[in-house]
Amino acid sequence: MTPVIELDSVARTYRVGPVRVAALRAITLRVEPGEFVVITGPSGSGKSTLLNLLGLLDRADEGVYRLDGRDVAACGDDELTLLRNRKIGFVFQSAPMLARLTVRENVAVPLVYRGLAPRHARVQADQILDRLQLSALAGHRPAELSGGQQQRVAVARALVGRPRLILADEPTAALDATTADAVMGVVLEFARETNAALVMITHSPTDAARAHRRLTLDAGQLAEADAASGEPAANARTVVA
Amino acid sequence: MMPFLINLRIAASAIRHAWRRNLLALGGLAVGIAAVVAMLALTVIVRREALRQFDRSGLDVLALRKTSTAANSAGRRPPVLDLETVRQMTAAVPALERVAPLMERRVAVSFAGRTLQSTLLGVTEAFSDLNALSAVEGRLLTDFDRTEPHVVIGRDQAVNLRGGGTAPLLGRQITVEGRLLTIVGVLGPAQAIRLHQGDLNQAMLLPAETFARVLDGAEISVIYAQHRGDASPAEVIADAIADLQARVEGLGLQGTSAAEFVAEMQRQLRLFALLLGATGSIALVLGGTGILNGLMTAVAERRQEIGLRRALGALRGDIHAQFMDEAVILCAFGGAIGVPLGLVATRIITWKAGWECHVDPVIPAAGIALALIVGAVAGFLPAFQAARLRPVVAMKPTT
Repeated sequence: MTPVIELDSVARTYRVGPVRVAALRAITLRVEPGEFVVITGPSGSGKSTLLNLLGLLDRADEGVYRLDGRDVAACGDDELTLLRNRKIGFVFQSAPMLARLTVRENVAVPLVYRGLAPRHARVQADQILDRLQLSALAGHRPAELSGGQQQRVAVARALVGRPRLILADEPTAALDATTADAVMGVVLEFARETNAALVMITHSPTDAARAHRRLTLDAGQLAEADAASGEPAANARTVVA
Repeated sequence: MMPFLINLRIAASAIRHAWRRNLLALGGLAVGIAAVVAMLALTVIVRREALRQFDRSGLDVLALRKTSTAANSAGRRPPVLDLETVRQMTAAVPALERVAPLMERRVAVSFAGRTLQSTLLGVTEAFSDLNALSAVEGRLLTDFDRTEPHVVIGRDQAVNLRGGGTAPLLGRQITVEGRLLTIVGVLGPAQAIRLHQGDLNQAMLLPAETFARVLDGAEISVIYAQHRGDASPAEVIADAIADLQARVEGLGLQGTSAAEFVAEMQRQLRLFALLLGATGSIALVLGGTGILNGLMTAVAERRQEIGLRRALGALRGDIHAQFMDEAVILCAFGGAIGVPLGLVATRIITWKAGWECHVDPVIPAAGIALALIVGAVAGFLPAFQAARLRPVVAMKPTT
């Protein structure tokens, strides 16, 4: 089966003034369909950079990234955008919303950009909102929602396009325990149903405990984490496959 | 909901949200569009007005006015232009088709025991033809009246003579310088050719010979003439002056043609249009710059929105279109305010000037089109910048 994510010696370096800072060093990673991978690591370790690369929001300086079997290095900007729209669902930490659109429209936006007929986009948006028990809020503006409700809408928006890859950046960090558990439940259930890969950055031990694999990023290097402590395993490798 | 409709929804909301910022730019733009619409409308109206004023007489008329001469200043007897000399002009200058000499004097006129001031004009039949005069009572003067003591009364003077009543005037007599003149006609509303500098409605017309006989020292002050359409007005004037000066020693004449008059009007009009256009252009540039500035600010403020939409699948073209839409919608508002403003300004100016106000429908459409063009130009740079934002950079929270 084609892995959803295939990173081979991927590196990303930033220039800060005259200094070159290696954010990611020779990352090799393979994530299969249906797999749930958690990435942990201290601030500044390169987690967000890795998520941006995986989400095609940024490009690697070195190495090869194949998303669902396709080498993304050869893709132009519009191709990357289309690939992102069709294959990836994002759940960002701060649940950013398009403030000028309703909840239903926010959820339907990825489908609209995919070219779906407006009626179908609305129907699918309503279905996912219903599943997340957000139907009553469909006509509201994001500003009228609580933080927890906004995060659930962001989850709905990430899942509505049935992506092959779900990328989540601390999706439950701002939620209370009950809401966080409910949100994670929906995401995991959805990923199981659609056989989507789920890569999540989290500091939550509860969320991490549910993952198939736990990786740590430290100073731009990826390693398998110790299952018990979450620290890099004694036999940690930079190649995680 | 297509991407286009998402853009429109967001554009409408963003414009509403930033209305204070947009108001000033819209004001400048509206003034600019108004000035351009007024300029275009007035250019057409004034040209039409200029041509309308010569419509009845045509552009083939000219005027030769007697001026002070060297003979006058030397204290000798001034040269006299008589009717016979003028009548010979058509033979001497073949390009002339009709010649209408005019004598003019303001005098006291007595009628039914009352005295009023009036302008008397000594004319020939050609003058009535040239001015397309018509009589509402009686008849016009003809060349058969030549030496007859006949007079035709202008419309307003007829009202004055009647003293507000409706008494018949035909056949009754007025007294000028002790001479009795019989009223043979009353003019309808008259508009003289543009080269004539008086109001025919306030005048009384006498046969030129009678005028010379009744009023001592009367002489021709102006000669109106009609020339062949294919002749050059300047050449005809030069030939006519040369002919008259050859026959009347020391005669000073200044010629003006209708064509020159129209050309002068159009030159002034071009200057006026240029000023209006310059004012409009400055206002348009200011308005457009305001729109550009506002959108640049909006791009900076809405970086995260741009980044999010890019993350969710918006192409660069979608983002570009978003800001172009906003610029064009804003400028369309400017146009929607500016075009009626321009039309109101046009109406006020034409009303003040006494011109006929007829605005070609193309002009408001051109105003709207211009507003949209300004929007497209002003929106391009912000739209370009927004579209070029990398999603990973745009998504970063600004500090």
